[in-house]
Amino acid sequence: MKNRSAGDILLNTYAWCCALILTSAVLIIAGYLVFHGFSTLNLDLIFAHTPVLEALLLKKQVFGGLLPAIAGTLALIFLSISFALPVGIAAGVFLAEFALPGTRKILGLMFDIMASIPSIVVGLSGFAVTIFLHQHFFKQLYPCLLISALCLAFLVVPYIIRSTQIALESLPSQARLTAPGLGATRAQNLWYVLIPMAAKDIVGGVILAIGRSAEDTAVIMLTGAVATAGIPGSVFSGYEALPFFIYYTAAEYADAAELMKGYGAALILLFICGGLYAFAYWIKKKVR
Amino acid sequence: MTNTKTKIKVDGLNFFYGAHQILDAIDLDIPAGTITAVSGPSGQGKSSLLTAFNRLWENIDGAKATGRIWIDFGKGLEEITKKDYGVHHLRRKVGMVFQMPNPLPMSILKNMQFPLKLAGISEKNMVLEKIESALKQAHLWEEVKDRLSNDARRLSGGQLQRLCIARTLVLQPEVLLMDEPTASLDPVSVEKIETLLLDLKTRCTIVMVSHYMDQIRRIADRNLVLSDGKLSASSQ
Repeated sequence: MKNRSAGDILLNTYAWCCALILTSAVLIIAGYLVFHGFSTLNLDLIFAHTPVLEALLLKKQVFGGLLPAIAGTLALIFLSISFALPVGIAAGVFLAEFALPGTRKILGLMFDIMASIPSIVVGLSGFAVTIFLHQHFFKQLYPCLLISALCLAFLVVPYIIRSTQIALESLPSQARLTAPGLGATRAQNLWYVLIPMAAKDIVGGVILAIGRSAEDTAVIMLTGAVATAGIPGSVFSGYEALPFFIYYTAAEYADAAELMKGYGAALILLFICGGLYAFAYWIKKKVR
Repeated sequence: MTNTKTKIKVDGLNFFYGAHQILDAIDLDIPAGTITAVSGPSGQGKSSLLTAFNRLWENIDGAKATGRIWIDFGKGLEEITKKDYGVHHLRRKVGMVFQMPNPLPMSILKNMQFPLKLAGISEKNMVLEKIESALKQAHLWEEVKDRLSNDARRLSGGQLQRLCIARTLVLQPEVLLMDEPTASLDPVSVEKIETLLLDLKTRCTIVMVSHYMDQIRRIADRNLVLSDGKLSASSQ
C-alpha cells in the first residue's frame, strides 16, 4: 500500500507480532501437550484395569484411571453453569434494561470487582462458609461437589452478567422499539425479541464461563476435590477432577510414568474444553 | 384532500431529549383518510413527532413529551396522552413502520403472528386469514406464500420493508406512522411501497416522514415542514 506513514507501519507490525506471539504460544502449549501426552492416550489411561463396559455402567469402580476425574469435571461444569446461567442472565438483563443509571454504575462496579477476586479467595470463602454451616446448621455437610459448583458459579457469574448486559445494550435502538411499537409490554419485548437477538453474544460469555469452570483448581482443591473418590454418587460427596489431578501429579509425581499420565490428563482436559467450546459455538451459529 | 373529518388533533406538543427541546408548542389537525408528509432538515424532531402519536417516546431513554393529543378511533376524539390511556392498545391502533426494516429474529409467519399473539388473537383460522390479508395488502403474498417458514431476515430490503408494513397492517390499525419507509430501498421497491400507501389511505390515516420532495408530491395530500421546533405547511 502506498503513502503509509512510519507510524502506520510500526503499529501494523506491532499488531501482527502480538497476534503471532499469542497464536504461537497457544500452538506451542497444545503441541507440547500432544507431544508428551499423546502416547499415553489409551483406554488404560481412562479405565485402568477395569473393563470398559462395567466401568461405564458403574458396575465396577475405576482405580488408577481418569474416568472418575473426567466425570467429576463434567459434573462440576454442568452444575456450576446451571447455577450461574439463570442468575447471570437475570442480573445482566436487570443492569441493561431496568436499573437506573446510578444503580447500574454501582452494581457494574461490584460485578467488576467480583470478576477480579482471585479464585483462591473464593475457594477459601467457600471453605469457611462450609465449616460455618457444618458447625451450626448441617452436621452432614462437608466440602463436596455442590459447594465447589456454587463457588465456581460465583466465580464465573460476572462474565455472564457483563456479556448479557453488553449484548443487550449493543442492540440497535430501533430493534428495541419494534415490539413495543406493535403493542408488546416490556417483558414481552425482552422475552420474544431482545434476549433472542442478543443470544449469540450472551453465548460468548457462557463460553468463557465454561472454560473457567473447567480449568479452575484453586477453588475446587479447598471445597471438595480429592485425589481418590470414584465417580461422584451425589452432589454432597467428594469428587475427583482433572485440573486437581494435573496439579497433584505435577506436584507429587513419583516417576516418569506418573508424570506422563498428568500430560494425558491435561490433553483430555484440553479436548473436553475444545468439545464444549465447539458445542457453544454450534449453539451460537444456530441462534444467529 | 379526501376527507375533512379530524383523525388526529395535537395541542401544544413539546418534545424534549433531556434538557434539549426539539418540538415547541406544536398545534396540528390531521384529517382522516389522508397522507400527511412531514419533511424538514435532519435532527429537527420529525421522527420524535411520530413517536408522540403512539407514545413510543416513553420507551426511549431521555425522551419526554408534554401537551395533549386526541385520536378518533370511531367514537369521537379520545385523549391518548392521558396517563391512564392504555398504551399497548393504542399502539395496536396506531401502527408504526421504521426507516430501516426491522424483522424480528424469527420466520416470516412468526413475524406476522407476533402482533396477533400480543393482541391475544390465537384462533388458527382467523390468524391465518388475517396474515394472508395483510400480506396481500402489502403486495407481498405472492412472493412469500410458499416460504412462510423461512427466516424473515433472508428477504431482500424491499421485501423486508413490505413485511414490516404487513406486520403492522395485520392488526388493522387506523393510523399508520411511517418514518422514512423508503429511505433504504431501490426504485422498484419504492414504487411498490408508494402504490401500497395510496391503496392504504382509503382505510388508514397515514403520517409519513420523508426527505424526498418528489415522493411527497406523488403521494402526500399535504406536506408539513418541521424546522426549529415549529411546524409549517408547505406550498407543494
